[in-house]
Amino acid sequence: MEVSLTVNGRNVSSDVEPRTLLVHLLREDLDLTGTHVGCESGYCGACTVHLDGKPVKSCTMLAVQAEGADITTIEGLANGELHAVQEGFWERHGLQCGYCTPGMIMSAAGMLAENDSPSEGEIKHGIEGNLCRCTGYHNIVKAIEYAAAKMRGDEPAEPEWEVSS
Amino acid sequence: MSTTSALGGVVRRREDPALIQGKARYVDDIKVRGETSAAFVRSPFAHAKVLSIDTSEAEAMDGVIAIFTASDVEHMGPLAAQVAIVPRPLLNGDVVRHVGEAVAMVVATDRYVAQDAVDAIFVEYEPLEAIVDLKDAATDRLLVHDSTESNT
Repeated sequence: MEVSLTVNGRNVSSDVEPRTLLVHLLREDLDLTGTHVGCESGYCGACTVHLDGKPVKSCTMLAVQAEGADITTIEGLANGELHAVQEGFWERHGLQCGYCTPGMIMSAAGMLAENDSPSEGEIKHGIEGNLCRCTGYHNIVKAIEYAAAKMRGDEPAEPEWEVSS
Repeated sequence: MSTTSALGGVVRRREDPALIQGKARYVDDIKVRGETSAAFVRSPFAHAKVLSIDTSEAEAMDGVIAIFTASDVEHMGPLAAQVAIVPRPLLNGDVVRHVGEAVAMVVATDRYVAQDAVDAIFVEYEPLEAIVDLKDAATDRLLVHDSTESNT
């Protein structure tokens, strides 16, 4: 089956089996391996991408369901620059192995596009569909708070390791 | 932010730019020419005797390269990553002791075909009583492994 969509601003068409998952189209046909497959059941969120600006889990969607859609993956989030969320993860140690990170960043970026002043609770709620098995979530929340401040044009809070030392 | 010492300052990790931009390379990202995919048939029971495994339908499927069951891999010994006292077989054709224990492996031309073949393998089990509670397991009224004297 032919499927046509926009991925990171580029028009792409691919001949896929009707059952091909969107994440496999992205990773295998388009070689966009930044989107990861974790659980293949919708729990872990490592496969999160944006579909028409909203975060979706690309392992629970068929490629053909994305016909005509505008998809953004981690590779296309900032086109060579760093998105504020990416910068936040780097600055606030929001990752260790990095496997969950693209999905975390896409979920966080989707959340901040709707609300640039989320409370700590809203941030936690916003990433509850994304699992991290390395860092715990503390620094991830701090990274998203850093990004939110940057997006509002505010100075991010000092890192805790500066405040407490 | 920049520092010449690892002490007393914030050191940004050099590996992070790749990891946060989707440019890192994990094992699943590596493509090898002619690579194949494996998928596993796993027990739906916590404790059961494996009575028979019928792979004939799966073997006849287009794209299936090989199917392995316990007897094909016995000579390779137990799982190398050993954390339990009792050696665990690569594939179990005798008594499975947890949900998800592997009883057969399919190698096929791609992951979708491999998964199809897994669905076409028919395993007959005789369900046995399972211990699913830590306190119950600690009483040793039923041993998970017959070769041990205690579950604890």
